[in-house]
Parts: sequence; C-alpha cells; structure tokens
Amino acid sequence: MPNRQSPSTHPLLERSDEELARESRAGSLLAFETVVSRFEPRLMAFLLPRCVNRDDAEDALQQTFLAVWRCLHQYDPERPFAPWVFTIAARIVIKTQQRDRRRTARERSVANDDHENDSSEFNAERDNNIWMHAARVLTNDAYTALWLRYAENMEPQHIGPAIGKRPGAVRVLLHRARQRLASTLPASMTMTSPLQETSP
Amino acid sequence: MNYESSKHETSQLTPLERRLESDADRLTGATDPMRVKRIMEAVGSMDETRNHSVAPSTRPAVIGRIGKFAPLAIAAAFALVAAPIIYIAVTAQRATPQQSPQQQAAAIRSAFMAFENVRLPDLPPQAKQSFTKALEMASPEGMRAQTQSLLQDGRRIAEHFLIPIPPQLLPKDKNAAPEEIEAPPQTGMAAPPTSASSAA
Repeated sequence: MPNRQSPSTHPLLERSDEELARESRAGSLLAFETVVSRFEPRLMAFLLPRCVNRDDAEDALQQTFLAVWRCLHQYDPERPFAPWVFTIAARIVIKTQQRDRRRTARERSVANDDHENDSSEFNAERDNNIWMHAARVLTNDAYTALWLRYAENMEPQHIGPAIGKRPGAVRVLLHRARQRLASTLPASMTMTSPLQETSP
Repeated sequence: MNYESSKHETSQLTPLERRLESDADRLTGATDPMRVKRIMEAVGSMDETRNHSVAPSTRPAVIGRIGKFAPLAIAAAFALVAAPIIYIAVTAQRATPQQSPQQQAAAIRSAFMAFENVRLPDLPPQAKQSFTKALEMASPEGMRAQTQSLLQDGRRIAEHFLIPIPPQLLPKDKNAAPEEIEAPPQTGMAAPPTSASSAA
C-alpha cells in the first residue's frame, strides 16, 4: 500500500461514516482503514454473541469488512452507513450458521472445545451478558433490530431499510423482542429490580 | 400500544432496556490495532487478486476472446440453428389441425376452376366477377371463415344455376347433403329469367 498516514493522526477521523464510505468507494484505502478502526469493536461486539467462539467471530468480522469493501459500489451514500454494515454482518453470521449446520459432528466438537478453551474471563463475560441470551432466543432480524436500537442508538426509520422492514414493523419487532427476552430471561440474569417491561 | 420507548430519555427506559444498553457497552471493547491491520492486509490482498484477475492471462488471446464472447456466441448459435427449428416445429404443430380448411380451400378452388372451364363463358358478367373473386379468395391462404362462406356461396350459386355440384363441394354433414338437386337438362341451360341479377 502506498504512503499512508497513520489514521490516528489523520483528519479522516473527524469525518462522518457516510463521508468515509464515499471516499472508500472512490478507492481510498486510508478512508476504509478509518472505517475498519471505527466499526471493528462495534461489529465484534455484535458478532460475538452470535458465534460459537471468538475465532469464529473474528472470521465473521474479517468477512464482513471484505464484503463491505467489495460491495461499496452498491452502497447508497444518501442512507446511513452503519445499518448497511451491520446488515452485511448479520447476513454473514446467517451464512456461517448455515455452514455450521453442515459441519460434521467432529468439527462441531472441535469448535466446542475451542469455546471451552476461550479464556474463562471471556466466557464468564459472555455467559452473563444479556446479548448472549438474546442471540439464543431471538430471530436474526429481531436480534439485529434490537442491537441497532440499543447498542447503536438508531431510530426505527433507520433500522427498517437495513432489515427490509417498515418503521412500524420494526417497532413491533422490537416490542416483541423485548417481551420475548423478558419472558425467557434466566433467573441468574434477572435484573436487581423486577422487570417492568412497558405493557404494549 | 406503546411499541416505542424513547432511547434518548433515559428516565423512560425500562430496566431491560437499560440492561441491554449497559451490556452492549460492556461487550464493546476498544479498537484492536492488530485486528485492524490483519483486516487491511486481507483487503489489500483481495485488491491485488482483483487487479491480477484483470491482467493479461497466460491463456491464448483467442481463447480469452472466445470466453469473453461466449454468451453472445451461444445466443447467435441459438438464433441461427435452434430458433428456426423451434419455429418450424411450432408452426407445423399448429398447422396440423388446420389442414382441413386449406384442403377445403384447395378443393373449392379446383371446383371453381372446373366451373370456369365449363360454364363460365355461359354465365352473365356479374356472375363471372363473383366467380373470379371467389377463385381469388379460395386460395389455400384464405381464412377459415372466408372458406366456409365461399363453400356456401359456391353451393348456392351452383344450386341457382342448376349446375351439378362437384363432389368436393358436397358438405360432409349427411343431413345437409344436397343429393336432391338434379342435374340440369342436357338440352341446355335452363336458367331462370332473373338468374343474372340474382346470382350477382
């Protein structure tokens, strides 16, 4: 790669996601590196609960960024960039899950061993996290919508196009996801105050 | 139904929503520079692969060109070979059940030709015109309706002039078989006085 300034000192950091996406689409690897730096921790957090182990999550993360780079010409700069990226990540997770279903039992046991070999701190963190439970009990769309809403602070009108639903349908989806989550939350994960899920 | 719970007003968040936010924050770590570097290397290598793929290959240029125009070549071959065969087959299939009107038209034509040779000189001019027109229309390309009407006209004219109806013109329907019409007297044409005008 040609002379590249360190992204940490580059004014690109102050640009919006959409501006960075536009420059990346024009071929700027530096802009794309800024995108990767910005989205890497957020996407990793999004992917971790959905994957068997950390390695799988890292694979999915890398595939996501490769797909984003490859498909940047399809991105509409008039729309928010983050939902588009998270939708790609969600689809890659679905593909990974489909591939995992085709895995042989031996491969599955190896993957589970990998999960066991993850650091105990990581596993404890994972198992006690409500998103871990959400990934188990919610559908892909519901999980993605919930994540975009509460982790990415997006409004339903921005979540809708990302998951192919109208804003009203997103609100219903979020409501049902919260209800499902509240009703299936294990006792060990129950909040200190009793769940007071707003009645619909 | 209150599907929407405002994200921006923290006081209105339910404990579940607060837990979702805080757990997402806990899950989201800091940017991992090594991971970003690995991803950018993968992007770079993907770019190189892409660039190499458009570079001249080791295959002979002719094969490359053929490969490039393969879809066009297939389309052209289809247009030149397969399409006429399909057209002929379909036309033949469609034409098979419609053979009888054409045969019928040919039979009428030959019958009228016989009339023309034998009787036409004796007929009044208007009747000649009618016969000539009927001959033109009774071509094999004539439509079924025209053929049917010609058949009726031919019979009507033949009956009117007491011309023996050739077997080709006889209807296949037994009930309508005009066997009762007798042959004209051998002494000459015994046409009714108003035959010329009514025949036209």
